[in-house]
Amino acid sequence: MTRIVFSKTGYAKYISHLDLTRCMARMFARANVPIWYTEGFNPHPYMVFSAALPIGVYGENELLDIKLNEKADYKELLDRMNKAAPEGISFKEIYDSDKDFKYVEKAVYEIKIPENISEKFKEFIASPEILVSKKTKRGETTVDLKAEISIKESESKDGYVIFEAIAPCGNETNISPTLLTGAFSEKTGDDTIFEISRISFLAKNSEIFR
Amino acid sequence: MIENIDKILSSVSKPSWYIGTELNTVHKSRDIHTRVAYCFPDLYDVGMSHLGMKLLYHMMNERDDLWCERVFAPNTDMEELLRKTNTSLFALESKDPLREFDFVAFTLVYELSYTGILNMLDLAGIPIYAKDRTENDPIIIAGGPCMCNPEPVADFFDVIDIGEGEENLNELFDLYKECGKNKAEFLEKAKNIRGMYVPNHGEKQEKVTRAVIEDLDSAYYPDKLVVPFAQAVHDRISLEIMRGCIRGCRFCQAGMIYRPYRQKSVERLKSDAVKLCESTGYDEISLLSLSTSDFQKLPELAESLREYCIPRKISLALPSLRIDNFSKEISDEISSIRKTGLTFAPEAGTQRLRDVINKNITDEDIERSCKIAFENGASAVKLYFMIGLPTETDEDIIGIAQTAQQVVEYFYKYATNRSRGISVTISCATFVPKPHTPFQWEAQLTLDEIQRRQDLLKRSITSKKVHLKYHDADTTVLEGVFARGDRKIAQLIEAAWRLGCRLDAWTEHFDFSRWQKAAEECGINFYDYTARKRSFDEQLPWHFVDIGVTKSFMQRECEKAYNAETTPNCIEKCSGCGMNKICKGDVCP
Repeated sequence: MTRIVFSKTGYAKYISHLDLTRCMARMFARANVPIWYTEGFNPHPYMVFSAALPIGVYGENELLDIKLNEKADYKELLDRMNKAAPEGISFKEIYDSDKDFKYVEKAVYEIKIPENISEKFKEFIASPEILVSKKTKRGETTVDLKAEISIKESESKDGYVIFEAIAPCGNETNISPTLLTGAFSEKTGDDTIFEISRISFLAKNSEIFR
Repeated sequence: MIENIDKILSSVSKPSWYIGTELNTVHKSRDIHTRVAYCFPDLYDVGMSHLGMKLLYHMMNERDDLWCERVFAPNTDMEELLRKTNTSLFALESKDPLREFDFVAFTLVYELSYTGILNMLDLAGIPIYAKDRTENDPIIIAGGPCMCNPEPVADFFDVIDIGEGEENLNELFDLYKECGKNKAEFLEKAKNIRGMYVPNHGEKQEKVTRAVIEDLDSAYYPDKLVVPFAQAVHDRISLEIMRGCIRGCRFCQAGMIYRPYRQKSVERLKSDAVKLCESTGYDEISLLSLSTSDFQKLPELAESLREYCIPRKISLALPSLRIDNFSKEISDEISSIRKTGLTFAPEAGTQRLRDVINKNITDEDIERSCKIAFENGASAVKLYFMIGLPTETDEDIIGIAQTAQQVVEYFYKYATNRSRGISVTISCATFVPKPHTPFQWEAQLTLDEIQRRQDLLKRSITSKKVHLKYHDADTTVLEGVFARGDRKIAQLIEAAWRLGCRLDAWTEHFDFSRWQKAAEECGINFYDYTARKRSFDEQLPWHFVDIGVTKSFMQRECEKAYNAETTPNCIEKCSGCGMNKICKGDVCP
């Protein structure tokens, strides 16, 4: 498998996962990437993405697997893809990998909170439980975010306090940190838009998955 | 502003409609001489499917002294947020409020988008009537096919461009520069540019002659297109292969107002197609014209494009095929690239009525085309018909059902694989008489009569293999009002918009009762505009628009229609429509 590491920033954070799939297929065509197509009645470029990013969340190191029809110079390929990329999508690395995305358990996020409300946010995440309802395929369930997401303050810069959150991001459970910020806004009535970025994925033993 | 917009985008349902960073969008510096906010008065996914807007967007941006940006009608959730947060409607690329632009331009493609004009101007804090705007407000302009009768919306605009924008828009922007942005001087002088109608400044123009491109093959065509992130209704490369139509169907406005018939060369089309594929990465090309199979070098073009498309897994769509010259050759081209649906438009159910409307196809043509299609494995056919055409009788309505039934029978006669079954869909619209057509004087059906004829059609269909779809009758009435409306209609549009009418082309938003209430407020009776037959001597609201096709031609055609006499197409014989008089060169086939 050929694994591509890319970032999705700026206004591109508003592109949905489905739209991203189409956007990538067109990018591969423009960059003339010898991508392998599925066979069958309606062939399409074969692509497997790491867990979908929630709309509004930046991705720093998102992963995309493709197959190539022929050997390619990855450095040169990377260059061609970046030239064909739309604004907000940037390709960082290409390498071979046989590690399946099913081994991803968690993801690491950064949440940027303006200093003036960071105390309130700290208080909020210190509550003994944070119950929210979450829509799943089987209907609505209640989740205790406090138990699911581990969050800690990591640094302060430029008037913001940055929190690092680790949340489940596997096939079984996938909990978006936007649930946490959403619950905070709902509780406090604060309408600040938090900047959230997904930084990396973690495998079973909390090792970085790449 | 940007932070505010970010907040809004985080709460709307389709944020990617408003981000303005799609591939191939144009971003320039704000200190440019002329800034144009180019508006489409309907939702993003519809507007981004419209070729005219894409074409003119890139053409305007070729200029070094101008930056053209896009604006679409916001969806209802977006509108609510803009109003709640007091945020002006903004242009997508720069996110700047529309008030700051030199021009706010609208493309008007269908009449039911008219309330969108008012809503967008209002969301931008710009007075909706030209008379209420000052020197400091942007210049509001409009164009598009609806503007062949500009009167219903003329009160809202400073300049209306009648005809083909590729031909005269640059002249308009040159003039703006020359006038040093002096609005009054600009408006007065704009009247001298062919196709420009200035409805609310100084003396009324006696005649406005449509702008026409004489040499389409060397005219501007973009080598890139904006590629939306969110799926558009038509999300593919549109390759315009020709403009105008040789057929002269008497109900068809497009067939009259896009004359003369101009084909592009295969070389130019191939080169444009390759450039567009490379710059967009789209996996589908759709050939665009009023009647694809009338393109004389279609097999050659298809072959040439296929050479490029097949190895790249790009599919080629050939819409707008005609039933009478749908040849084996064309069918081969379709099935060899990728199966596309089969759609034909007989328009009327009997030979007599098809002769009345000059749709020169016969029952034999239908059989021959079905034979080719079914032998090639087609199993779904869509047929377009109209009810309410001039001289229509109940026999013609029953004929629609019979024609569909006949297609079912052809399937069992010719299909190679009968086990797949056949599905025939009748898509039935109600005829709306349109300006600049031989039927511009005709009466349109009333709501009761539409209902009666639709019921008759429904009862006449006996097969489960035939499905029937109607165009909504209420919308048809409104379309009729706008199509042949006069200046009084502006008040109606305003009243309806104030009553909350928005996005009227969408069934979930369209509310006819509000339009009825608005009509009552304005003292307007819809049927005065739609159900009334005009005499040939009546001065019609669009009489001053010289579209190229003459009144005497249209009258002649209308009289021939009553005798069910057909007129040969432009290639067979010139019928003297008048087009060759407004074109300098020899453009007709």
